[in-house]
Amino acid sequence: MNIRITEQAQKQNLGIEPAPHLHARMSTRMIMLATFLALLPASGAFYYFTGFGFVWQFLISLATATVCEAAVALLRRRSLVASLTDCSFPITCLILALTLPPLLPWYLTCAATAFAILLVKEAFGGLGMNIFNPAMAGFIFLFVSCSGFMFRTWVAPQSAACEVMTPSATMDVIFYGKPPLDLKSRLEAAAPGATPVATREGHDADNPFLVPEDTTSGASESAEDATTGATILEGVKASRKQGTVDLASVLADETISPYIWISCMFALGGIALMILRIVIVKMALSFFIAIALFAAIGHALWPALFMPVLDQLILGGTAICGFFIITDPVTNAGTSKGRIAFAVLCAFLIVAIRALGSYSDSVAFSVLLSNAAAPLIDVLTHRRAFGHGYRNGELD
Amino acid sequence: MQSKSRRLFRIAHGKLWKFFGGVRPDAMRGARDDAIEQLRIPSLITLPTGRYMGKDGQLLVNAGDYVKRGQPLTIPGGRLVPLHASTSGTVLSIGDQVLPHPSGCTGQCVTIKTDGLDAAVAPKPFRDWGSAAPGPLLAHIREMGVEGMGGALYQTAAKLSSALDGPLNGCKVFIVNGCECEPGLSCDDRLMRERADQIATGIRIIQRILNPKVTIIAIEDDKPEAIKAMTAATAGIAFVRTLPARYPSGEARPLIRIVTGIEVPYNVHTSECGVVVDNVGTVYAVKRAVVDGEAVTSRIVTVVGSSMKRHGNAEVRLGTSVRFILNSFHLHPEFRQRVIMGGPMMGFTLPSIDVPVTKGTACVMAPGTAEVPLSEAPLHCIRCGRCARACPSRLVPYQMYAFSKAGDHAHAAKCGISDCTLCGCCSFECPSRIPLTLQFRREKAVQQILFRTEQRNTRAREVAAEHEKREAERKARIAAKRAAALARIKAGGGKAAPAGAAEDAADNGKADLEFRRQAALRARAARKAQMEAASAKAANEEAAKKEQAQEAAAQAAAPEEKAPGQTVQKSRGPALPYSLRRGGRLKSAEKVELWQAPEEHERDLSLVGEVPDENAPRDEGRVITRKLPVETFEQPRPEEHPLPQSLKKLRSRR
Repeated sequence: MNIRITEQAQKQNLGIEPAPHLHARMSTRMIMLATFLALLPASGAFYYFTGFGFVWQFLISLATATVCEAAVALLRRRSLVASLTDCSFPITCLILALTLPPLLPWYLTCAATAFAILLVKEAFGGLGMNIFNPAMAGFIFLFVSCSGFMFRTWVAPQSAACEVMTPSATMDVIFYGKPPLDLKSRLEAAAPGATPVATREGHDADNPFLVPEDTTSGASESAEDATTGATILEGVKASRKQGTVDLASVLADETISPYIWISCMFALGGIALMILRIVIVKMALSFFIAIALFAAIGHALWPALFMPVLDQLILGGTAICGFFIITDPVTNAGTSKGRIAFAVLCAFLIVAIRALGSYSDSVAFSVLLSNAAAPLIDVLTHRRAFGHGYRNGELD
Repeated sequence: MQSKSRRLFRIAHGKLWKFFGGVRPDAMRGARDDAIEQLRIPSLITLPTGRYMGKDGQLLVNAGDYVKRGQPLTIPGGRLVPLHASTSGTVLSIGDQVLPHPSGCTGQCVTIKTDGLDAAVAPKPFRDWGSAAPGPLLAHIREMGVEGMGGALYQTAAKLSSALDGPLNGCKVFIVNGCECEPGLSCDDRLMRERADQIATGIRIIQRILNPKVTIIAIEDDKPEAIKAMTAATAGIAFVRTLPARYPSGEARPLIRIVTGIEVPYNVHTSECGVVVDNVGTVYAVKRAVVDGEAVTSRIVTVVGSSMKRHGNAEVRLGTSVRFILNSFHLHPEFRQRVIMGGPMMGFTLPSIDVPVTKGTACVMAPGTAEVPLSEAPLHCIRCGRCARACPSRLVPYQMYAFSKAGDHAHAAKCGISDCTLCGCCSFECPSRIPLTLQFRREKAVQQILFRTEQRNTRAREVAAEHEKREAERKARIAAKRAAALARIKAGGGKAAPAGAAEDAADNGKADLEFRRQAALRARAARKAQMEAASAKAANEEAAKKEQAQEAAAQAAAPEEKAPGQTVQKSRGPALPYSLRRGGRLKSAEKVELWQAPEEHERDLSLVGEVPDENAPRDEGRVITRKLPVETFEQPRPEEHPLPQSLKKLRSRR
């Protein structure tokens, strides 16, 4: 056969493209945009319950990430427009802002974002090539290297916190280095209900992270601890050391309701993504069922170590993890079966680290560990290809 | 047995199985509501002959001949079917024309200048097919040129007969494929709506041939009129099943999975598993061939696309050019207009529209950019897994793509590239617009090349092994002969010694023998010295000088006469292994043979062969054997074959 494009064909100048000629409407940019939009209800709740600091964190992170992406695009001689419009790094920034303490000094946020974008994402080859979740890696980067800052600048969610945590007030803390404790005590004073029931001074000594580093206000440390929420898990850890995880002593109803609200907002966004078929329903469902199951078993067997089921589901980052972090396709296992296995593994690690780990923040660590296990899950969940296992004579 | 027949029972009672993957492209209504129209006969008809001749086929016409519609133009070879002229006219030329192929390659075609009369040869209906045996019926179907009209162009008669002769002894389930093989097509839909009765007759004919236990007509649920028409026409002879409309369900294996629950592997013919799938177009062609006695000279083509003023389903003569069809539907081309032949998922863009319609052309599309957007630049894979969820073969396309792109063909094969049907579902779903199917098409080609190379290498290795075996046998034979000769000499010496003791032995023969033996022994001693000298020379120069003196002495002592009665048998020279002779790449064989070759070059092999040389230098405790030359002494001893420099180094290293 003579394979040559004839002169005749050249003159006709017809468009040539490979099959298939049809494409589904969903594109990667749309997936990213939808995920970003799905995070907005939770962001609104965050603004209401923790104040404007969260917005500052997002803006700082976004600016840093934009600069980083542009720099990488220039270095790699990629299209600047394409890499800045792929809509993936704003999600990283938003998740970082949702997980970092709202009053964190700006340079730490910059460092976390730069770490996430440059080292965790772009060093591996950019979007689609990273093996670890950038936001979680950035969070852990800060958590491991300066956890004292993290605890000091954390704001416990509290209804109508946005009235106290105004843009200017939070700006003073984040950009000009004013001590966050003043703002936090003002916030505490503005709390609608009574002051929290228990102040657990005794735990401070146990907790190396809560030992003040710059003892500007050592007296209020106890108050800080009582209201630090990330450190609700930290408080749980401390109380676990004392032999109980009875949260009734730690949490009043008013304290826990913001957590429920935020979780519900995450769930709202997650369900929207499920409807758009971006998040696999089975995966998110199996994650929460697995958490509940492991927590129920653990709590039944060792009530002193494991928190009850409801607390496991509401506190910490369980909701954002189940709907937005483990569903990140890039760092996930490939097939549906693999994704379910990934979700169950992550759930197990979350419950286990919460009960047995020395860090109080379990979500980020378990996500990174599961990410590391994803290639293995890919290999182990081999699919049976069409027609394999056919036995002749089935129609006799 | 019970459970097996239960499957047939369930098939007959309307159970539909689930089928993994697939995509649902937005409903392209296409030309579903346009009745089949007869397209005019073009002034030129081009009929590619390639697949209607085969290796040993032959053409029946010459340029200038007058042909009529239905007149066979070729005698095919093998299981191929003949080509028929699709209208009457004069054969203008027989030569290379552009074929309907994505590459725009050329091939032999018969070009007919039509006369517009459309005169036909006399129809040859197959009377009393209701009582005929399958053999003649199949021969008739083949003679009429019936091929799979769904697009695969598998010879219908061959398919049916392979089902009859298959290991299962006949066909159990006969499926009439009324699902469009691609979204947006409507030729099968219109055919079923308008010619349901003829299709029913075709089904009865095939039932007569195959005698299946169950006959099922599978129609997608977006064709309610076709379902109605077929149900009415085939009441009592077949069951109509309504399938959910999903893209690859028109393909044979997914269809079999849905209808029977069996997954026929891609390396097995469906007809060998007791299932025969035929497109409604094929069934219709069978009816035309058997009842009306007409060869396949036309087919129904769906013509759609927003670049044309109208769309429709046209019954066109085979060999009509795409340009003619597009002109008939008033094409208004945009810049770089794409003309797709064969549907939006698996069809290809034509590099030239001056190509003929063949029996497998179900659709000609001329879409505008608004309808089928131009392909965008691909982004990175984000491993979203949509391709894996859409793949009807249950592969993981993004993994396969990564391996294939990285050139890791072994892993790509392990991921199941051989099970990929290039259906295009993965590329359709990919949100990053990665051309997965394109890469897989390339990868399949590479795999085929690799497979063939491997086959060739295996064959070469076999030949080399066989050669080595023969060589070893030859050596063994020579060694045995030599041993026998030595034994004979010894025996002769043993006899001669007592005869020599008698001092005046009159036995001339014995004396002669003794003389010859002495001569041979002397000659041997001389040669031994010579060889020692040579080897020592190669090893050490000083030693060589000493040895040369000895050699000279020995040569002086050596008798100047020929050892009589000994024939020199020349071997054919050093036999190289097959691989080396052909310039093969068998490294192991090369190594082995390169070590032996210089020694064999030393001298022509004789009857005597080798004897272990006690004085030869020992190499790693191994006695180097030397061969005894049997040439005459007048001949200058051939200089010891020098080792190549590289081999010397190697040897010293060893």
